[in-house]
Order: sequence, then C-alpha cells, then structure tokens
Amino acid sequence: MTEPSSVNAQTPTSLNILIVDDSAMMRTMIKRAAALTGLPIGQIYEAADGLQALAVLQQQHVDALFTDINMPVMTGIELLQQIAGHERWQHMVRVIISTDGSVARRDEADGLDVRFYVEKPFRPEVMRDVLSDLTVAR
Amino acid sequence: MCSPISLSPAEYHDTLLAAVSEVAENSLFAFADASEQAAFEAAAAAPLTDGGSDWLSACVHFSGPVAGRFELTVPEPLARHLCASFSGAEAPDEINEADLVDFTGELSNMMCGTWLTRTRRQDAFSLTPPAVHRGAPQIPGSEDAASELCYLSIDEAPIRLAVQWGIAPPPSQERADG
Repeated sequence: MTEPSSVNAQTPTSLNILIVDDSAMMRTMIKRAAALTGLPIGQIYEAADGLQALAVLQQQHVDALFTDINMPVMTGIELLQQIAGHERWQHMVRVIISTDGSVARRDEADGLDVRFYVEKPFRPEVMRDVLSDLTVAR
Repeated sequence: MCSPISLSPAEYHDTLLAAVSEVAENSLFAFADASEQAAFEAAAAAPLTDGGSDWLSACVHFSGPVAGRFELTVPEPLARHLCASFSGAEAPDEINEADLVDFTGELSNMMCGTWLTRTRRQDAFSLTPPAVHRGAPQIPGSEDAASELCYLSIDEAPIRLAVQWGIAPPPSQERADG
C-alpha cells in the first residue's frame, strides 16, 4: 500500500470507477471530489455494500474500486477477499476509504492488493492525488 | 464510570475535540471548538416557536478490544449547514430529509471512527450502521452504563457527544468483521 502522491502532468486515460459505501452522502462526496479533479473519469458506478459491489463487478468493466470497510451485509474487507486472486479483476486498482486507519486494519488489508488506504475524513485534494496516480499508471 | 480507554477527563475531552476538529476541517470546511454544557442546554431549551431548532441524534456502536456506544446530538440547522458543505449543495434548504439523516449518521461515524483510530491506533474496531432519530436531546445512559458527555461547538453552534462503555451492538447490527 502507498500514500497518494502529488499530481503527475502526464496525459491520463479515463477510468471507470466503482464507489462502495453504505452512506449515499459519502458516495456523493467522493463523486464530487472525483469530478473536481478535472481528470478524465469514465463511468461511475455505486454500491451500498460489498454484495452489491460484487454484482456490479460481474456486469461492468471497472478500473478502480473505492471501498469503505464498515458496511452492512458484506464489509469492504470481505469484498476484497472475494475478488482476490480472480484473473478478471487482476488489474483493477483497489482503494480503501475508511474512518478505521488502525494498524490492525491496515495489516488486514495487506495481501489484498490494496494500492491506497485513504482515511476519512479526507480533503478533496487527496482524491485528486489518488486518481491522478491511477490514471497515469495505466 | 471508568473508561477502558485510559485517558484523564481532560485528555478524553481533548481527544474528542481533536477528532471532531479533524472531521470539521477536512470534510466540512468548518471549525470546531470547546463549549460548555450550559450553552448546549440553553439551545436545547429554546422553544421551537421562538427560533429554537429541532435536534438530530446519531448513534453508532463500536466493538473491538472494547465495546461501546457513541452518540452525536446536533441542532438541525447546523446539520443542514454542514450537509450542504459536505455535498456541495447550493443552500441548506436544498437538503432533503433522507440526505440529512444519511449525512448526520455518516458524521457520527466519521467522528467515532476518527476518535477510536487516534486513541487506539493499534486496534481495529467494527462500527454498526448509524441509527438516527429526531427529538429533543435526552441524556443517554443508565446506572449500569453512565454516559461520558463532551460539549463542543461547530461553527459556534453547540453539539454534544456521549460515550457509553460496555454496550454491545444490537444483535441485528453485529458483524463478524469490520
């Protein structure tokens, strides 16, 4: 896992992203932060829990997954465990956005191909830095 | 009541203020400060017809090395103001009831999660989905699990945080993993 770096000036390609959070307002905030980056975003999909996210992932092409941890039905950690090792999602970037930034939770995310771990609350600039890193890396 | 998180009353207050300040400044473009019980109670006692406000309370249960209940109580005008900042709405009046309730719950979730992470950095906690209700502020707790109360303000409006220890999540909200 890494912390997001500053914006890179290379030409990026658009990203389809999936935002998974049980709070509709938090999903709105993340979408707004993504839009404010000015970076090319393709489709934005939403899910309220890990199970809904799995259904989206089965049907849509997603480049980057942004998931909360504490959610009903299926947590973010359980979602990441479900998709770990599947060839279909091998190149999908995983980002955790959670209030739980504890060492124990970060350790739990290790080994689940999580590229960024963003702690809530976060400034909108953090989303810009994360998306910028993702777009230039593709 | 002895807190399982080993903090003096002053440290307890300071860590909650630090967590609320972090949430306010990073996500809400707002400013949090210390306040007093009298200011909160005066606002709560103001009749609705005399410019007083309705109130929202949002509660999350946390479980991990220690378990408990965290409740935020906030006047509706402040919740609307913060929700507009958070969501990018043009004006607080644009916020509908469902979004206001969702936001207030998420606010309590962010405050509780930030506070737990800052005070117990090594430990993972699971949080239940927030339960939000309207109504005049009540003092939560009983003799078995007294509340530790903390009075703060955000953008000069009073809020109250209440933490109870040893309260297990309702069975329907328990999760196996965080």
